[in-house]
Amino acid sequence: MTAQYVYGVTFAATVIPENLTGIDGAAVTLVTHGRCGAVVSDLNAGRPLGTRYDLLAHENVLASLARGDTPVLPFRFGAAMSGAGEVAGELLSDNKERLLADLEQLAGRIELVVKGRYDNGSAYREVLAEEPEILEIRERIQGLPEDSTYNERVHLGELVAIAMAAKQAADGERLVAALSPYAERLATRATAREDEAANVAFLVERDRRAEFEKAVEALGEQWAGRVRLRLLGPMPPYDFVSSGSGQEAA
Amino acid sequence: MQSPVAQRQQGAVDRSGATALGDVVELILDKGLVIDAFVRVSLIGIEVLSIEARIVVASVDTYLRYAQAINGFSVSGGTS
Repeated sequence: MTAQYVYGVTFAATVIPENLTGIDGAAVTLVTHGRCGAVVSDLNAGRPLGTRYDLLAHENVLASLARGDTPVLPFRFGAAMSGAGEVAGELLSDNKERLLADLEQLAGRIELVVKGRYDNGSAYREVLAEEPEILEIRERIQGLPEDSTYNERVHLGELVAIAMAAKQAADGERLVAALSPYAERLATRATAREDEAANVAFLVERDRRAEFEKAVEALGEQWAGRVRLRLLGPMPPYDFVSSGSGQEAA
Repeated sequence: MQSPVAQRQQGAVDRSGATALGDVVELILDKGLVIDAFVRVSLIGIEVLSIEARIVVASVDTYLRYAQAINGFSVSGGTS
């Protein structure tokens, strides 16, 4: 009995691309039961997982399937089961109604993620122009020793953080308003970096992908020089798998 | 600050897969179905190396970084 690393669940009829390899270069195969199939590879469970190669391998297996027209429910990193028989039984057979319902619901849809980053400090420049107090404090402490201006610097930074958060929220709303007409659902993700303007995942019907991408291009042109947009995907619906996650795109 | 990594640029939008490690980490560690919700008996506990979360916590350190960051920029109108 060989341990199985589980990437995700798809329909049993799915054809795994030839030569697709996963963690440790192991061949990716499909374990099926009824209409469901689990995407797995053999795992030598002798070491901790989580190197960059492990993470990239997990993502690559799922992205390869998403780029083909395969609907797949992605599992979070680190799912492993004791053997292929257990995958067929305890995972697929015991959960078949729920897995099939989720697969049917997501079939024909892809996840596209749009990230925006303020170009070349544009947000800081806008904040300086829009918030006289910030500019004033900055001028006042310029050139003074750091030790004597500690409190002012903390206060300055707090004001900048608040202004940046308001800017990110407003830009996130503008991005959602521009793109949600072309999507079915959306999930706003927390912005993780100071210079990040927005980070939103959209569930888009395959037939509407071109329309959606055109709208992203249009927004990118509108924001040229201010916010640089990145479009990621198509990827498996990571943000929309637990039932009801994400919100309706208006 | 353009990334030197070969990226297909088309018009005003960068397109790429989620191949940057940061993008991948954000996806597969935080999102996706959790297998424990489906399986109990035949799960194998594998140790997953903890990856430092890249979460910006509002804290004094963060504020000081902002204060530092805004030093490098000059005021400009909304348009530039």
